[in-house]
Amino acid sequence: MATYFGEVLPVSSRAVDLDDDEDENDDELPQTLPSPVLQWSVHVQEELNHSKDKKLSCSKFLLAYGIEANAFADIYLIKQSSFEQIGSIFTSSEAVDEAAGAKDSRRNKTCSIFRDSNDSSALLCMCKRDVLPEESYTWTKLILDNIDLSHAVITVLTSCSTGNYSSEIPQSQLQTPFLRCLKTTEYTAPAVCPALEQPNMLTGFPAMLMTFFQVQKYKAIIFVCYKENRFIEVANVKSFLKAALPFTIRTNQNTETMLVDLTEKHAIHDMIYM
Amino acid sequence: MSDRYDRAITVFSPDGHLFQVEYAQEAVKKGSTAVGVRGKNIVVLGVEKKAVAKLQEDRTVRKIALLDDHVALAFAGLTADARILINRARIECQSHRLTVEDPVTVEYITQYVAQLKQRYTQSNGRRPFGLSALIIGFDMDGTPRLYQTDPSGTYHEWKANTIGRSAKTVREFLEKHYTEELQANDDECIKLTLKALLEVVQSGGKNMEVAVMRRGKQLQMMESDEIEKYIAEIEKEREDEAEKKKQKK
Repeated sequence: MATYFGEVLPVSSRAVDLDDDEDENDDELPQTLPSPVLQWSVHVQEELNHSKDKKLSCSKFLLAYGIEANAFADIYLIKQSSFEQIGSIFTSSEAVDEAAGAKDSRRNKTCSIFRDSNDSSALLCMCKRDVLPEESYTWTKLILDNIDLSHAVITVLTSCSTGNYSSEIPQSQLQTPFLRCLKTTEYTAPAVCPALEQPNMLTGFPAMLMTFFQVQKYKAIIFVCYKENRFIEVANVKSFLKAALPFTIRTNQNTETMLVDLTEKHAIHDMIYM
Repeated sequence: MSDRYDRAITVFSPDGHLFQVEYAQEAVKKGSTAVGVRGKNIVVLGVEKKAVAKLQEDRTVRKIALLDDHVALAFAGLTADARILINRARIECQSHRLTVEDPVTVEYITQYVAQLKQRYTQSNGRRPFGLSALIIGFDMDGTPRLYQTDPSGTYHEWKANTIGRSAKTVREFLEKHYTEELQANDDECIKLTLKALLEVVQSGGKNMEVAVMRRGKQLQMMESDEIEKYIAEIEKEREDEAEKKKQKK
């Protein structure tokens, strides 16, 4: 088409929609998310084969989600008493699992299940991977399908930025870190910290877990640590010490040094603020 | 609450807040602590040193910068913003020397820095500087100075002050321990700086950086063994005090 100025422009028709960009984008998105798989260790698998409902029995269950909660579980539980790893959750997406390979690095993104060697019904799940909101249903279902939590005391630990916390107190006057909890109606023990106030709410994987626990009438409580910084800080990890935990916590001099080492390992990569 | 009134920095909320400026002040708290103490013949800057990665050269990781021979600055907040601000201030120092043939006074350069920061809170399409600064130095007549600026562009002169993480705790400590007698003693000024830092720095002297400026002399960065020496003295003093208390009981 020639215009008034003599340039030639491609003709576009209003009758047909030539803009099919949107459809192309849709194709790029994966239609279905890779579903997670729970892999038990050999002897646990054998145990399960003998059991009726193929579910691992459990009386105490602690799930750590987020770096602070995982650091806490690692330093105060795994490293202090005898836990054995009995299973892991993988996704069938290779790219994600491959990145999860490097042990002990801050990029370690595995999700592992541990069992207390002294109490075979005490389980600890360390989920270092970020579970996307759209994945949280399948992840929750997977855990519930494989572990019998109907008689267990369930504790979930997670953390959240104060940026997402709404209250009448100005952000700058909030004393961070602080703990908030939410429990299912079946959980009757007295609370050790204030409940999460409205309009604040849980989101993502922890929210899905708690919803399931409430619907299934399980005894569950979640502790959320509201923190200020993106990177891990000693005080944030320690704030979980105030939470009511199903496990006994042992502290010694090592825990302190391990905490400092860990925070340093994370903090040195943050050069934005100095 | 802050709905919609924090989208543009030039917009006040109905109750008179400039939210973006307040948020910038939050960025300052994300930085590590810096302490400044002014004596009669000395000004001291102490900062919490950032741990560097194994393969990183720590020469480029600095919280204290020299603006001119007689003026130095320590900041807390966004590192990249600080670099820009420091560059501008350094140029102004030189430009002042060229035009007036005199070095800047500490108040002049503080005012310049504060003015720059304020401008960014009042014009469109910009964001405030996410940093506070402690500016120390000596005027031509030999008066020691310590100023503090914040993201809003406010500046004030102080006898001792602190910025960054846990500033409130450290400021309370300084308020409690800063005395007129202490001002006259150079060593005591350095010790007060270190003591204040020890309130928040976890691993003692190895994570601190101290710069000292004495009258008529250039800024001197203290060596780590020198810092350790002072810290050993502080620890000894504390032990002695504890023992005295025990004996009283």
